[in-house]
Amino acid sequence: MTAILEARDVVKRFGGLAAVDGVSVSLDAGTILGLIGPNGSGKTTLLGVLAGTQAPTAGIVLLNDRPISGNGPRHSVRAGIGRTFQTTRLFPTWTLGQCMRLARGERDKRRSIAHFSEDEITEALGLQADIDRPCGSLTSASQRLAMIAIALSTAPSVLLLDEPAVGMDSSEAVVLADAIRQVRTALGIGVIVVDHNMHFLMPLADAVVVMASGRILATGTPAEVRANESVIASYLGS
Amino acid sequence: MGQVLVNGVFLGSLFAVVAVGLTLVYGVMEVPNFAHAGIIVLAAYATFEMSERGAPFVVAAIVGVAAGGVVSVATELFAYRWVRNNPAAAPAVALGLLLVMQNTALRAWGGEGKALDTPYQGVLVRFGGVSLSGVKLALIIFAAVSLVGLGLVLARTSLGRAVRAVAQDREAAAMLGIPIQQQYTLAFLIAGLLAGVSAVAYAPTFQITPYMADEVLLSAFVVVVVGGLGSVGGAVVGGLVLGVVESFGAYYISAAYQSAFGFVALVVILVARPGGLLGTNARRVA
Amino acid sequence: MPAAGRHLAVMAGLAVLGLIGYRLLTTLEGGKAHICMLVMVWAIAATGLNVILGLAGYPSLVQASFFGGGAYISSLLLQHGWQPAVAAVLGIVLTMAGAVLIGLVFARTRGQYFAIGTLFSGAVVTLVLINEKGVTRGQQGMPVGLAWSTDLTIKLLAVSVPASLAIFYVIARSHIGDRLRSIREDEDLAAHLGVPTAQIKLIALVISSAFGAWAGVLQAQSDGLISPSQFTFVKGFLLFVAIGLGGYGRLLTPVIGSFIVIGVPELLDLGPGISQIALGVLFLVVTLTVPGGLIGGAEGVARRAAGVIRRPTGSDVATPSEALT
Repeated sequence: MTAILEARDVVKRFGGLAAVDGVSVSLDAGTILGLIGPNGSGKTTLLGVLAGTQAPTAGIVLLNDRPISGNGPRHSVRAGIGRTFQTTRLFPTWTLGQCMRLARGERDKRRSIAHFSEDEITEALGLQADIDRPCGSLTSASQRLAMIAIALSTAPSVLLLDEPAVGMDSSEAVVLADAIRQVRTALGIGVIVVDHNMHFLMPLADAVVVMASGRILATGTPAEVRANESVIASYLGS
Repeated sequence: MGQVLVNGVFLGSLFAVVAVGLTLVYGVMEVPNFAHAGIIVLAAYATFEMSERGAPFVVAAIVGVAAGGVVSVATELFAYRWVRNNPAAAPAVALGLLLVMQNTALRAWGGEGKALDTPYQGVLVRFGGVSLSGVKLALIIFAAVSLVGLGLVLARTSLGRAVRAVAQDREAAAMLGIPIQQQYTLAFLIAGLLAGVSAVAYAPTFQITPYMADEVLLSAFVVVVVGGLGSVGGAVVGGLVLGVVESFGAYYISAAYQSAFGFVALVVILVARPGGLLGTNARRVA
Repeated sequence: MPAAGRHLAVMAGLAVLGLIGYRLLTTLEGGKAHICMLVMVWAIAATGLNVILGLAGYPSLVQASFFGGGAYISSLLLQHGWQPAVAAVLGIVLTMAGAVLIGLVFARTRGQYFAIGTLFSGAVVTLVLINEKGVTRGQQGMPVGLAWSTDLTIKLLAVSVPASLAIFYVIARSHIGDRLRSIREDEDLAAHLGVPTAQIKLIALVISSAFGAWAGVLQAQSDGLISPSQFTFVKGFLLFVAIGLGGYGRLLTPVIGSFIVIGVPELLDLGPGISQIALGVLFLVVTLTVPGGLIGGAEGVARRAAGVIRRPTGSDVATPSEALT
């Protein structure tokens, strides 16, 4: 298993505060990595650094062994990083199809990575019926899925999802989990998922990283992490 | 050179008064209010009209300032309020208002310049080798008095503090529970009154035409960009600085291109900092 | 309608429009022919504005200066003995170079600074046109030598209107069009999806200047006399109004908008004051109540009349597919 995305000793400071304080993480191709931790543990900041939109204060991030260093979103998209955000943000009057078409046009066509067709993406996410509807008119769960569909349209080799299951009920979360698995298996994309919903995340992830106060508290399979004493103490509860 | 400097202070005072009005509205509305030029013009003509009908200057001036306030609030009430949540439409609204205001003035009073008589126009003040006409000195005094007065209102009254808060960051102000619509209207009122003051003060130094405020407005926008959106202090300091810069440029290089020096300042600022000196309120995605 | 069929229909429609224009230019008498010419020249300039303002939503207030740039530069070159075609092309190219400079400064900034910056740029250009009397003859205007026969000018003008609209159609349908519309819809989100927003805005401004400059060349040739008052920032406002009244980003907006802004006041022989008041009021009303412009509004009415279900979110701007009507 090769590491697609790797962070080595990443530090990210804002003023005097180190939101991320010496984190090393690696994501293998075709795996789903869960990133969990209490609020303020630095998960979203780490995600921003991994996405290449934020430059680390120290440390390095490598995508396919090449450094990416906070050159901004366009650089990240073209390098093959797809990302969704905690708050839903779409083009409200555009249809899902139009959004996906725009995103598809922004991918770097020189990268010879296999990519999903529009039909494959919408089928995997269950969005076929929504493709010609304005994004603003979709249900909130569909909107979360739509963000993923748009990110996938840029033919990424890595997908970073920030709380994708927010606002979803359990059946919607199941659809989401299945879609993420399919993306992982069919295309060999590496996925990092940040979420607070353990029922959603634990069955989905191949490996889990637990963060607290900007550092890694524990790593391992979901079962290992769940049994880890310090994790239980600081975060998971019973 | 002292003469040029004094002229710069005159010009700068004018810019400051106009820019403060612009920046207050800019802060709440997030868009350049081109219509401000129209308010200045209508206030000037209101003063002229009163003066023509025999009113003493003081009365005419008060009417002019009040007219500025009224027209400004009217633009908020009938136009800007309806695009408050759609800032992309605001430049269009500003343009439409300006067209209507300037051309109404054109139809009502014609395109030829009108002179506004003042009791102090014959005065010439001399000191330290420089001379300053009464009308220009009057503008500096009007500007100073109104800005100091405004400063006191903004700092000492709760209403004023609220307006300042909204101008600086209206989303944050909303979270503090400040009733936005009221502050919004108040900002327009203050801006309109300041426009009135600048009209009354400026008109006698030049002449009244429907286009009298166009170049001043452009320079005032530069001041707002330089001083920071929503920052009253920045507008005052920036106004004086730009006034001096343009005055020197006009004297030593070319009087016809005076406002072009303001343009150069704008270019320099935006090349160095495309986000403006203090950044914008653009919503961040992540 | 399948895509290819639709493209053909649009192109055919534009060709018909061109023929109608030619017919009008050659058969109308004196004053009316002049008005027709003005409307057509403005339609070309407005098409350029429709790219940056209509599609991308960036309020360019300098379009009238590009208009003037094409007119003055080509006329000056002609005066100095340059070949007509070269003078025309250079008029466009040099104006585009000016647009690059303006864009390099202001296109990296956000909408409010862009509006101020382009407005001020336009004012400075006007200052230059008025004050450099040695070159431009200032306010009194500059006579323009004939580049071609009147007949050729008429044909160029008649062809240029549909050609400009056709180019706009292609741009609007292309990936560039998607990118421009994404900037209008949500610039930050567009940037996060990888759209090179600063670059695209610059390109859009330069494209708009090309249309404006060509319109200026035609204006100079059609009128035989140019003066700074034809290219002031008030004219820039009127171009803006033309786009807003017609409907931002729609194909036929430049024609309809120019007709309302230029054609109607001339035909009704209103003085400039009254016509601009009326236009200002109309523009305000349309902006506040029918943001899709007259074309968008008419479309909405037609849709309701046909009993089609309203789309859940009202669009106030042409969506990518609607931009093509």
